[in-house]
This record gives sequence, structure tokens and C-alpha cells, in this order.
Amino acid sequence: MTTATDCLISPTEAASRSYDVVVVGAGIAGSIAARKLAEAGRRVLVVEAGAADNLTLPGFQRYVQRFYGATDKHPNAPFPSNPNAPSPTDFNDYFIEAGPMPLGGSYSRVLGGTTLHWEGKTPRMLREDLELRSRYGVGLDWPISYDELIPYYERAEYEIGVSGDADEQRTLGVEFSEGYVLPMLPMPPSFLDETLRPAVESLEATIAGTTRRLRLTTYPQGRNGIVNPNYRYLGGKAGYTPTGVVHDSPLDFGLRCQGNANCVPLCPVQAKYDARKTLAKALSTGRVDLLDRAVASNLVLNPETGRIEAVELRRYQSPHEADPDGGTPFAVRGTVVALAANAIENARLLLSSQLPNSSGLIGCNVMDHPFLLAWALMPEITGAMRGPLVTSGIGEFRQGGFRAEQAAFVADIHNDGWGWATGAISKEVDELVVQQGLHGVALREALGRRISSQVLLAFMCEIPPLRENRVALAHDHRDALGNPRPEIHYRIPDYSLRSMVASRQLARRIFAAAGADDHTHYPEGDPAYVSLRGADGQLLPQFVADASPDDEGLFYRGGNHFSGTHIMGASPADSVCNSHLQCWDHPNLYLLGSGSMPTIGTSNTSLTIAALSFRAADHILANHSGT
Amino acid sequence: MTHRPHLAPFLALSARLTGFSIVDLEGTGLAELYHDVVLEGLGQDGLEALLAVGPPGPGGADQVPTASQRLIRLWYTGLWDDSLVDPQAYREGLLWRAIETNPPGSRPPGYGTWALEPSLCATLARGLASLVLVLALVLGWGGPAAAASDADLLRLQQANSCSGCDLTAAALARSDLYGVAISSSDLTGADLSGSLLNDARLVRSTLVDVKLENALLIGADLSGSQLSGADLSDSHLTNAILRGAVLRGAALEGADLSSADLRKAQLAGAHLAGANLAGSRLQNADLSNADLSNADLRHADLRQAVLDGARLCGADLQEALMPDGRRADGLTPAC
Amino acid sequence: MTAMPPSKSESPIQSIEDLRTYLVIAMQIEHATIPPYLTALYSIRPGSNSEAVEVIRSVAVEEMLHLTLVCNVYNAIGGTMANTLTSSDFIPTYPAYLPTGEREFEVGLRGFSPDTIATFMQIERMQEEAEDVPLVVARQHSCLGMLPGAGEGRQSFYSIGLFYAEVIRRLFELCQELGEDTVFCGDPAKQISQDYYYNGAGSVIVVHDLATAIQALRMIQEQGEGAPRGHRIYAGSAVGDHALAHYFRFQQLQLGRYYQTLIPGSDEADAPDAPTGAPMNGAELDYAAVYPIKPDLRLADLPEGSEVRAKALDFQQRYSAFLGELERAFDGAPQQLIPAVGSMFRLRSLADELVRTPIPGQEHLHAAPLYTLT
Repeated sequence: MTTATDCLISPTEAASRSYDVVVVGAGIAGSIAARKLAEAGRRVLVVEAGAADNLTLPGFQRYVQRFYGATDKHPNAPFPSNPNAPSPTDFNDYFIEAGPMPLGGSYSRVLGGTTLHWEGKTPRMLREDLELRSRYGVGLDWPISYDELIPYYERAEYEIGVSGDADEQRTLGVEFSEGYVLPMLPMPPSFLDETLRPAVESLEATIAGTTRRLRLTTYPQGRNGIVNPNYRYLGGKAGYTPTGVVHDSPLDFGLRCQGNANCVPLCPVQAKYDARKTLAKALSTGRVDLLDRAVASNLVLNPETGRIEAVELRRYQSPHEADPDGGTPFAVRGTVVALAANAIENARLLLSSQLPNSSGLIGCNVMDHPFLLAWALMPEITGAMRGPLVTSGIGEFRQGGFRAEQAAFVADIHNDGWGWATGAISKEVDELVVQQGLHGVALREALGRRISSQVLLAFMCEIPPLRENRVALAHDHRDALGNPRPEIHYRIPDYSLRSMVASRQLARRIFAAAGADDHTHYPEGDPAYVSLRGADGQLLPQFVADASPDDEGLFYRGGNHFSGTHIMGASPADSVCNSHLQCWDHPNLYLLGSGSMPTIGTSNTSLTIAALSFRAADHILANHSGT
Repeated sequence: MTHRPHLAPFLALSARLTGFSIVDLEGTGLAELYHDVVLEGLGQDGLEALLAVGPPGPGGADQVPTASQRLIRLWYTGLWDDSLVDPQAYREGLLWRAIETNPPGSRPPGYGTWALEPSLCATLARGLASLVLVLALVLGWGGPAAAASDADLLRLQQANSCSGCDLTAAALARSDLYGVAISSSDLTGADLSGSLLNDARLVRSTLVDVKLENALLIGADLSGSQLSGADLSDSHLTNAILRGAVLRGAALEGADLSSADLRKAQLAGAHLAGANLAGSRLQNADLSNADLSNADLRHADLRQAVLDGARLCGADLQEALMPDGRRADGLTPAC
Repeated sequence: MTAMPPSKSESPIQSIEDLRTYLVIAMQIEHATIPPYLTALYSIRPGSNSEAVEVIRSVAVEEMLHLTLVCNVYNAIGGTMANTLTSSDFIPTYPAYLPTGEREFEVGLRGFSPDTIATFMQIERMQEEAEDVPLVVARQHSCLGMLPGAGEGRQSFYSIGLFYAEVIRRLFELCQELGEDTVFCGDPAKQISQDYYYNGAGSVIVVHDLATAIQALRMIQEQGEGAPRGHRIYAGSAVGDHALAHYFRFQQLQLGRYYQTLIPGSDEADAPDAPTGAPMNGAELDYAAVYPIKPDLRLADLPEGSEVRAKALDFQQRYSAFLGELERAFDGAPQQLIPAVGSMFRLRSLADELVRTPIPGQEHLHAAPLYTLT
């Protein structure tokens, strides 16, 4: 069995070899494709912008230590701050935000990609999410039907290792094959969930004329739990073995969530899925080479054949400092090239390569799931800061006719207190110590009461694809390797804002029903502040139906589900790739990841990304022969 | 070893300011580092001035933090000014202990524990004021000298257990003593009435004259304890383990002792009129002269029990196993 | 010590009741190694020796699995859990003696050091024998007898593995004498399955008959000492099971090198004592990054009235309570394992505090977790 570190290759060697497939990006999309292709006998090169230092346990432990030592524990805190492959973090300056609204958000250009820091929710999309245009006249239709996706979802749920309740999901309109159960049992709902349940389930909500009673349901999640004894992979033999820690020698660890309550930005025991688990299996076939610290900068096109002949990249020395030479240029070759660098980076690479772009849609239709946050203090201590960040949510408004008028949304109950909305927990200490002058036992008690009764609701809203929401290249802003940074043009349409406003009211009602003290406050100075009033100070007409008369404005937070930058479609005129993610213009180029998704519904994208990767890999195997 | 002449008063001040004890603070492993951070941040003079001042007065809104407030902040969050002084400082922040959770990313509490009631609820219900007493004892503050039994009481409240303790006449009525472990202790005359003692272990202890009316003792284990004269009337002792317990003359009228394990219990002269002993195990128990009138003894196991002089009128003995091993043949005559 | 040629009638295990008694002794044995492993583990300064932490932690966790397996066998043959883990003599006073051969050797509660690693290897020592000798020695060649503390003239089993061998033998014979159903009369609801016990998913064996009982006991033997056939360094003889036996895991720390459980391009594993895998990162194994805990700490070592003594007592009481929770869980309430595991994690925090706290009056020595009151 080849160890992971045996597969690291030098750029010179990589440049001298000829591969069946070159995969750009070792995140979930790229790792799944690499595994599938390597297991089928193909020779694969995986090119990764980040450093491969986290392939072993000691390397991963360094990430954990870096996290412990970080003053600001933001989503990229465990990872080196890498000027050669910078990553956006919340509203830092990686994106050039051309507006009118900031996209914000985070992803991680490290080995394993953003699955290192993802929270881990794995809901499937709904049938109608793929038929948004034909059903509701909004957005776009997918060029495949939900039925075609189902078997790929099963593969994805197996690969990631999903804990959840399929029957409960069925009551929310999610479809599975007959009798299907998920590999592991659902994460137990938190004490906070159960405390909120009576309040939530006492309410009905009306969105654009559709009234429904609310329920709390658990989320399927990609983290290890109790194995479901009835699980059968693809109808085969019963049983499931969770995958734990990634390490060269076998280690019996990370096989079940222990409640570290740190899913974002890093699960210290590796009970949460991250793409290194898949990559390690790909590497163990012995047919995958891994070139780390290599950022792709250009795709070399043969204009006669339309094929991508090579991937030019720059190799840097260390992720901790700007490469003194601006990176060393190399080029690698493969019969097939698969881009899996994430929606924004894929678009950036495609645009930098100045490809024909016949549809004109490269970089266009960028989507995300903006979150509306609301927070309160429960009347009793409910134990905030315990368990996975989210165990339950409200999914009644994921589907239905109201989507002709306004966006679908889901609500998460956050177990980790107010941090996402109000910032570091040390602020709570400051409030009590400095502002209120508390000390001693009185301080201890006050802190306990205040923090442990915190509840945060996060409403995730759909955004439909809009051409004018797009990624361009900021030629005047380059990173340490000379690659242009992404310039983002983005606006949340009223279609979605109306649901965000309605969510605010729903939160008020939930808090009131629970006897909780609403502390939600949206300061105007926030970078993602949206005013709900016009110049005359009156509520804008499109929000009157959903707002409360006193509402001034709101702020949103990025969901980090960057999508749509190279959508799939039924024809080359209105899409960049086909339903197998094969680029219309370049038959040997595959565009993996959520950039290919024409709509995103109310599902966190990773599970669907995984399913689509499996499907694309099948297509590569069927249509491009190996050596 | 670095000489730190101010370390002891530094810790004493830190304890007063943070509400944790000196040993708690030493247990973080960061005492010396924090001393050095503060020394560097305030300078020698600044540190000495800080140590000379007592606890801070109340602050106002938007005030610049005083030196002692910065010290509290350091212990609670590991931050000095706006920078984390050490990775361990994050994990050992007193903030996490105050809210009784783990620092995210470290010290996990275990799968599924997030579904259980937070331990902080019980801590706050018991009240942290008792901690003030501990600190007073340890730091030699003013305040009344505490009796030994008060310290034991404190230990009981903090650790939910006590071994070899003096709890005589303890006032614990309506207390939450779920699962408490008390062994070889003296609870003579203690008031435990109305308390929650489910799954409690009150073993090999003296419970003479203890008040247990309306106490819930489901699954409680009173093995080897001395309960003579104890009043357990109307107590719920379902599934209780009273093996070998001494309950001579105990008042157990109407007590629910169903399925209780009373093997080898000393129940001579006990008042069990109307008690529910259905399914209980009374092998080798001494029930001589006990009052079992109208008691429910269905399916009780009385093999080798001593029933000399026991009152059994009106008792329901269906399916009970009698001392000679026979099955009883039904009701006894009414009283 | 001369080998006795005992026959079935002279086995110390005669009846099912005796078998249950021996399984209670097995619980004591399996548990007895946990405090030494945990003490060494907790003595390591956070952030250092991550590979050693992993190895010791994984072995301690497997000992807990062994304890669970013993309890499953015990419950399956009708044992009652009450007063087993909570009996006053369940935890030995350290340094304790383990039945490992003619020469008893003691195991203490010590900090992480090369000596401690060597001791741990001795605990898990595999039996060395030539190829033509049966791997489980025939009864007449093993030393049988009562275990330490049970009587005079201390005889002992050559190894923990042979102790279990005798248990397996008698189980087999009693089934023949009395019938399997009579022997396996326990309540199936008391079995701990992988639903509630994890860390090695699929490793917990639900015991309901002779085959599963033997499977469970063999797992304990093999995880400690190594597989009897096939690759000797493996923890189990099942195909595809490549975990290392405990002895070899510790030996990796001693030799500073990983074993290759599967040499690339072959079906072979490393031979015992000759690991050929990656070196353990030299900077990682730092014996100086250890708290100076007082070895074999006793209550009497901690000054009366001191707070550190109160904390150590608190640990001891909580540990006893934890054993009580485990006992309850194994006695028909498996869902109680979830809060019991929570208690275990809280014990960890308290232990961490203790190892960082100097003992008043012995400033260069730190306190440690206290497991018994003696």
C-alpha cells in the first residue's frame, strides 16, 4: 500500500510525464474524481495550490495548534496565511468587491479544500430545485432530472459518510430510493433544540400566501456517528465502516464525533469528513501523483482541435511567505483536464486563459446562500457552545408555489452561541468585566448565565442565477504569483431579500414564543448592511408585506456556497458545460464543482458537488480512453 | 529556575479577581507565563501597584480597562490587550470553566453529551455563593470560621460525593442529590425530606433519625447503612437497594419499596403498614415484630426471612415466597 | 516455580460461579492497566509528543474495550454487575502486581519516560515460543493457580493471555457438561453493542453463546499480544485487520520507528522487533516535555487541608462515581454509556489540572490523579 507522502512528485517529474487526467484542485470535487479515475486504472496527476503538509497526523496537528494560538479564530485560522494562494476570509481583501453588494465569505485553498473548514451539512437538493424555471418561471432548469442524480447522491453519501435520518428528510420532500437509509444514524438533537421545539412547533408561517406549520428536523451531516445497521451501499452488503484520521499508519481515531464544537474551522479529531480522506484512498492506488504548492495560471488551448493541451502553473516554495521568484513556471499535460479549484478559482483560471467562451457565461451567474441572522437570550440556560454547530433546523419553506414570488429558505438553530453575528466570545467577557465592572464569583455566574442561554437562528436563502452577478479579473490586483485576484459583481435580488426580511419576522415570533429576549441588532456600518427604507425614510414597497413597521435594515453573511460561475445546460448557447460537466467548447475539459450548478436551492452544495463529480468521472471513463 | 518573588501575591490577587481558587489557577499550567506577561505589560512598578490595590470598583461604559480588569481578561480569555499570549492560553481560558463547556476544538465532552442537560444548570442551582466560603477559607479572608461539617457539605455540593463525611443535622431538604455517592458518613438527624435521591448511594453510613419523608429514592442504594428510627414514611424507594441496611424501628408506613432489594436488611420492629413491597427481595431479612399490616407483598421473596411476631393481617401475599420456600396461598385475614 | 500437571478437577475454575468470579478478576486485570496508561498520557505536556499520545491513548481505549468485552461475557453467563466495578478492592493500590510470569513485576502510576514505555511493553508481552510449540500451551505445561492476593503461595499465570486461555478452556468444558443454554443464561438486553460503545467501530462483540464468547476473549488476547498465526505484529487474525498489537505499538515508541503493517507491493508485514516504516519524527518524542508528577502518588503525600489534596480527593471520588456509572451501564442500561463517557472526559480535565499543580512542600513534584484512598 502506497503511503500518501510517497505520491508527492516534483514539478520537473510531473512535467515530464503524460497523464490520463490532470485534476486541478484537491478538494472534494477533485479528490473524488481522482479516486474514481485511479481505481478504474487511469494515471492521474492532482495539482494543488496548497501545501501537502496536512497529509499526516503531525501535520494536521500543526493546523490544530495554529488554530489554538490564533487570536482571531476566523474560518481560515488553522491554515497558513499564504500570499501565493490567498483565500478570502469573511470581508478581507482577497475579493475585489465591485458591488453593489459584497459577496464576502470564505474558502480555503489548502489540501482538502474548503472541506477542512466546512460545517458539514449534507442535504440533498429537491426535485423542484432542478426545475425552477419550468415550474415557477424563475432561475434556470438543470439539464438533468433529479432521478438521474439519485444514484450519485448515494455514492456521495457513502464517500462522505453521512449521519442522518432519511425518513425524516422524506417528510421535507427530499427523495431517496425505496427503503434507502443513510450510512449513520442522525446526530442527536441538542438540548437547545429540544428546548426550542415546543415554541417552533406551535407556530405557522405564511410566505407569499403559502401557510405551513413549522417543525424542527435534524440535518444530515458529513460527520461520524453511530453506524446504521440497516445501511447497504448501493444495495450491496450491509454495514458501514466510518473513516477516521488521515495518516500513513493505521490509527484508530476520529471514528465518532466527540462534541468538540469546532466544526468550523477545524475538527481536531477528524470525525468530520474532509476531502483528504478521499484523497488518501486515491493516493493509495499508487496511480495518483500529487503536485502541491502549485497554482494553475493558464490553460493552453490548441485552437484547431479545441483541446486543452497543457496546464501552466507556478510552483512556490513555502506557504508562509511570498515566493521570492514569484513562483517557478511549469506545464503539465493530460489527455483530460478537470478543473476542481472551486467556482471562483475555476472562473478565474478560465478567464485568465482567455478561452473563446462562446456562451459568454464564464464567470457569470455567481450565486451564494446569504444568511440572515437573528439572536436572542433564552429564559433558561440551554447550554450554548456544545456539540456540532447545528443539529436541527426548520425546512418547511424549501419548496412550493411561493417560489414564483420569493426565495426558498431554511433556518438553522445554532448551538454555538452568538459568535457568528456578534464576533469573538471574548467580547462577552469584556462587556461584563470592563463595561459592567464585574469580578470574582459574580463574574463567573454572570458569564455562565449570559453565554449559556444564547441562541442564534441562521436563515439560509436561495439566490437565483443572474447574469450580472459575475466574477471578472482584477488585473490591477495580483497575488504573490502574479495571478489576478477575483473582481466580484454581486447583488442580492429583491426576490431573495423579501425572504430574508420575512425570516427576520419569523425569528421574532419564534423568540417570542420561546420567551426569549431578542437581541438582534444590525448596525448600519456593517459591510453587508442593506437598508429596507428609501431616501424618504419609508419602507420600500417590495418589503412592506414581509417587514415589521420598525425595520430599518438588515445585514447578511456569506454562506460560502459559491456557485454558478460556469453553469451546465442543455445547449452551448446558454451554458458553459453539459450535464456531465464537459465543457462545450473543449471536449477534454471538465468543470467540476458548484460552478457548474445552474441553481442552488436551499441545499449546502458539497453533497451535490460530490454527486456531480462521480457522474463526471463516469463520463470521463466512458469517453476518454486511458493509456 | 526564574525567580518570581511576586508570584504568590499575583496568584492570590488573581484568585480574588477571577472567582477561582489558587489551585484552580495553578491547574491551568499558565500561572508563571501570565505573571511574566503582566510584568512585561505593566512594568515592575505597575505590577506592584496592581498587587497593592484590592478588587476593582465598578467600571462604566466605554471605559479603558483598568490593570486589574486586564488581568481578569487575561485569565478568562488568554488575551493580553488584543493578542493571544499562547495556544494553551486559549484552551485554559477560565471562560470555558465558567460556562462549563469545552473550549471549541479541544477537551471534547463526548458523543451525544450535547443532548443532556448542561451541567451549568445544576451548578447555578446549587449556587456559587458557597464558593465564596471556600475562597474565604483558603485565602484567610474575614468571615466566620467554618466548621468541619460545613466543608464536607460543600464538598458534597460541589462533587456530589462525600466519603467519611460529617453531615450530622445537615439541612438538605428538597435538595438535588441525584446519584450522590455518600459512603461511611454520619448523617444522623440530617434533613433529606423531599430530596431527589434517585440512584443515590448512601452506603455504610449512619442515617439514624434522618428525615426522608417524600424523598425520591428510586434505585437508591442504602446498603449497610444504619437507619434505625429513620422516618421514611411516604418515601419512594422503588427499586432501592437496601441490602443489609439497618432499618430497625424505621417508619416506613406507606413507603413505596416495590422491587427493593432488602436482602439481609435489619427491619426488626419496622413500621411497614401499608407499604408497597411488591416484588421486593427480602431473603434473610429480619422482620421480627415488624408491622406489615395491609402491606403489598405480592411476589415478594421472603425466603429465610425472620417473621417472628410480625403483623401480617391484611397483607397481600399472592405469589410471595415464604421463609420456608413455599409459595404463599393468598391473602391473610383482615386486621 | 515448578509446572504442575493439573487436570480438569484441579483447575481453580470448577463451576459457573467460579467462572464468573474469574471474569470479575479479568475485569480487574483489564482495568488495572488503565490508570498507569492514563497517568503517563496525562503527564505529557499539551502540544508535544503527538505520536506517543496517539499510541498510548489508543491502547488505553482498547483496554476499555477489553473491559467491555469481559463484561459482555460475564453478563452472558448470568453474572451480576452490581458491586463488581464498585467493590472497594476493584482498583489495586499502585504499584500493583500483574500476573505476568514467574517473576512478578510491578506497574506504577508514573510519568511518560523510556522506563514507562518498557514497563508497558512488559504488560503486553507476547509469549515467545518456537515454531513447533503450540501457541496456547497445553494445560499441563502452564502455571495455574490463584492470582495474587487470593491466597498464599503466590502462583500466577505466565501471561494475561494464558489466564484467558484457562477461562476459555473451562467455558468450553462447562458447556459440554451443562449445555450451552445453561451456561449462557444471561439477559441479552445487558449486552453492550457498537451502538453505545465506539472507537473501533464494529469491534464490540455481542456475546450470546460459546462462539461469540470465545471470539470476545480471543480479541482481548490478540490485541494485547499479537495474532497467533499469520502476521505476528497484528492485533487480530481476521483478514484485512491491520491494527498493531499493543506490544508492538509501544515498541514503535521505544525504537523510534513505525511498523509497516503491509510492505508496499507485497502481502507481508514487518517481522517482530524489526520495524521498517517511517521514523518517528525525532523532535516529536521529547521526554523532557513531561510534567514532573510524583510517581505512585498517595493521598498521604498531599498535605492535609491543602486544596490540591481536596482536588485529588475529588478526582478519586469522581473516578469511583464513573466506575459506578459504567457498572450501571453494563448492568442493563447501555444508554448510560453516553453520560458515562461525558464523565470520563471531565475526569480528563481534572487530571490535567492535577498534573500541573505543584505539591506544597515538594515544589519540584507535581500532583497526579488519585485512584484509591490508600
